[in-house]
Amino acid sequence: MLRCDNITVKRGNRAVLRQLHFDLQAAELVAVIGPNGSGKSTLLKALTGELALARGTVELNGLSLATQMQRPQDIARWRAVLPQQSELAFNFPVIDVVMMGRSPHLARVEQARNLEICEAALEQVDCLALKDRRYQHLSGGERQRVHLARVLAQLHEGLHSDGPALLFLDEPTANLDLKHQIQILHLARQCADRGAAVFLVLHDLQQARAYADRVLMLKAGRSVAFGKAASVLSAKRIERVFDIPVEWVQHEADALLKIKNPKLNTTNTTT
Amino acid sequence: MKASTFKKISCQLIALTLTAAGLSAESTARIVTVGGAATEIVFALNRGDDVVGVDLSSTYPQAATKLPQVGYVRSISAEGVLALEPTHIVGTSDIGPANALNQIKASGVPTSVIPSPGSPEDLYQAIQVLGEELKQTEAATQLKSKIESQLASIQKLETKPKVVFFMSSPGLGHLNAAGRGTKATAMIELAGGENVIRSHPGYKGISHEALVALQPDIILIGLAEGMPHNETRILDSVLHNAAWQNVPAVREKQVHTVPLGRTLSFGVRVGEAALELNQLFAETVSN
Amino acid sequence: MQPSPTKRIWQQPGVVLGLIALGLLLAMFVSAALGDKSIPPTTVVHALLNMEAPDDAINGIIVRDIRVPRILTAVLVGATLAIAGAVLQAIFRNPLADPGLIGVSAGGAAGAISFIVFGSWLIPASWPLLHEIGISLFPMAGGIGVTLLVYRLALHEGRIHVTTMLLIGLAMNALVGALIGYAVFFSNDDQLRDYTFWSLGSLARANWNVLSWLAPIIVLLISALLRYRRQLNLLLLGEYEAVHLGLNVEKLRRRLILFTAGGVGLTVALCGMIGFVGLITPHLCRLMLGPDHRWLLPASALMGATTLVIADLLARISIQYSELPVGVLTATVGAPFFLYLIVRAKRRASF
Repeated sequence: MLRCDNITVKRGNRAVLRQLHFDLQAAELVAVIGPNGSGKSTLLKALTGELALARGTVELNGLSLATQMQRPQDIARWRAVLPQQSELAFNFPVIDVVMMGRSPHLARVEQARNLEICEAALEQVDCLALKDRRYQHLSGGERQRVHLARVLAQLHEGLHSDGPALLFLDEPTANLDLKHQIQILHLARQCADRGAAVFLVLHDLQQARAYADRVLMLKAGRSVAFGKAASVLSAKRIERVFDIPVEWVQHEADALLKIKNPKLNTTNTTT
Repeated sequence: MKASTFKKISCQLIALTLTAAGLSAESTARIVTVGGAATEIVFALNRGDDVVGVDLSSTYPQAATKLPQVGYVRSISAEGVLALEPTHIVGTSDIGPANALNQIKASGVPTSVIPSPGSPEDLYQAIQVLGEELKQTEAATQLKSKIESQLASIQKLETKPKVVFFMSSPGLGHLNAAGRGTKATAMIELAGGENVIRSHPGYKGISHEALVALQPDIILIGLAEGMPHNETRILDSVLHNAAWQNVPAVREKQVHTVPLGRTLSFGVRVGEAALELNQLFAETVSN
Repeated sequence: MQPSPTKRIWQQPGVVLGLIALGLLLAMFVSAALGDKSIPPTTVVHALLNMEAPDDAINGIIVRDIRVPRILTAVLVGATLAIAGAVLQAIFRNPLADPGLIGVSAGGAAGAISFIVFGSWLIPASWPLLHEIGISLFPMAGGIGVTLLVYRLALHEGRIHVTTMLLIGLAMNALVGALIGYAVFFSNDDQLRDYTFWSLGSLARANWNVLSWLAPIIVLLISALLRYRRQLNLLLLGEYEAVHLGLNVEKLRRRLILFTAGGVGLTVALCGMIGFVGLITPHLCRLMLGPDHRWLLPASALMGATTLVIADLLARISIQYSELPVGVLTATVGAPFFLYLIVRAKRRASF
């Protein structure tokens, strides 16, 4: 689905991502983790075409990203991006915001069906009751969920048939309470189970281990490890990359991350 | 009643009726004048009573300023003019905007446009044209010969005084000097003087140094009529300017204010204005 | 969106749109019926229906050849300014964008003045057609140029920097002030007066000739802009979000800027600078209809037309036999309104 070959991304003269290799398959959830400033969001922007590559190639479905981006209307039918924060300076009703996700499909799908899809998407994120509310009257968490509903509506065809679907989520849990964090991760997982390729930027290591198939760990713009979630997220590696001593504790079926020494050595915590 | 008497009386009656009709026709004439010179000429040709509207630049005679105004000569309102139900419209050539003039013409109301006069010749021509159109040829001839005789009595000066003409805007205290191609230059020359500012066309600000370099014998400051001016202050600002104490006009106190409209309109008062300036120049030269 | 059943009838977009259209027709008729010359309404109707007015031919001419072309020009110009305002506000994702404030009008004015000053040197007077074309093309080019410049300078990593946008507008207005200063210095008194009146904004140049070329261009422009009403909604989400939803943002934006700035430049060439119509009317429409451009664009066009028809009517009748420059009127109402928007934005940080 997605192949990333030796990519380097620069901001100004400084390389913020160096020589990254990785791939993302259909029906798979890859989580990207790393300390602050390690280049997680930069990587997502490079993969979605928002940032130019200084070197290397990104391939989508066997075609280069640059080629695909020349026809954004085609790619938008099966690829959706949920940014960290979406701003909307104008006060739309919630249902209209979700409906924007249907715009790549408007020509092929009739209006009533689009509305159904949007309402279903709102239902999935627990926001159907907000349908007619004004966007700017929502809380930060509600806004984030509404935007998630928007990208779910956008990928509806890919998620409910055999077509391709590719979903980028940039720290989707950032503004949410615990219940809605779990709900969104469930939804992301569900998308992968339905055949979508899901690329997820995450902060929470325990959540990454619980929901991701594979994990890409970044530090200072370089790939530290890429592979099965459990093996990448070893306590030793976390300790080295995140500069905090941890251990995994098995509780029934779940692995819990325990911080060994809550007293941090402040001189070592630069990132 | 004898037939001859009857004939006489009926003829008189008819004549009377005709005169009355003529009079009433005269009194229903409604003229709108646009542009100072146009207004002045129409009033001078004894048709002032028929004028029902003027523009903002019509400041003479006094009676004209009391009439409804249709805007400034360059930006009149077509409907404003037509709403006065004029039977005749007289304007100077700077009447505008073009669109409004076209609309007025299209309405079928007779419209005369005289050249905005910049010389006595222009003025004579305008007077003659309007005299014919307003059926006042005799008054036109008289007016013309009056101005001609006034201009003829201007004395030729052996040494032309060097003149600078400033335009003063009320309240601003800023002085713009008249340059090439202005009516001020034409008037100065008509009155036997010489405008020493030739460096620019139109009215522009000049530097304090320029006045020292040009050494004018006389400085004229035009003040717009009907605007509040502090004449003493304006004169003092020139007379007491330390940089200009060696300029002949300042040294000899030959700094005068002149009414703008009368001096520069080249209307029917051009003769009086030129004579007055001529006398001023003659005194300056003889001193 | 489907009108939801909970909405009252007067809140439904179609109804609101219809009411605005009705208001426009009413304003147009009132404007045709009022003026310095009092003309009985029956005569006005007769003249409008192109029947010879029974009592007075002049009345017919005043209605048909002075008032009607002027009203139609007000409709076209008002609609252009308002829809341009609405579109620019979407492109810049900010409700404070106004053709006048961000310098589009100033760019148009700069184009017009450069042409007036330099055009007569470049083009021989024996080619009047070239002058006609130039006086329309230069303001359009000026408007487009400034808008592109504002966009380039205010855009940072896909976001528009609002303060920069307004400051660039300020700078452009200052630059045009300087240009006018040069033009004034090199012009005679008559030209100077003409600049002054032109820069204040006036519809006095309207006539059937002007309309015959203005109307098709404006109608084409507005219908072209209306085609993008759905895309404009996406643009409000942000540059990249719009791309991810399948929009070719770069291409769309170039076209929108070309159309709006070109249209505004054209109106500037014809009527001078008439400010704030593009700011106020989209705002009022947003209050009534919400931010959805599918309704906002047509409503703004209608509302802008209504606003300018009424403003021009006031300009014509407020001083008997003379007229006030209409730009002075719109600025008198618009500038305090702009202040109010800023103060409110400061308080609520939203629009």
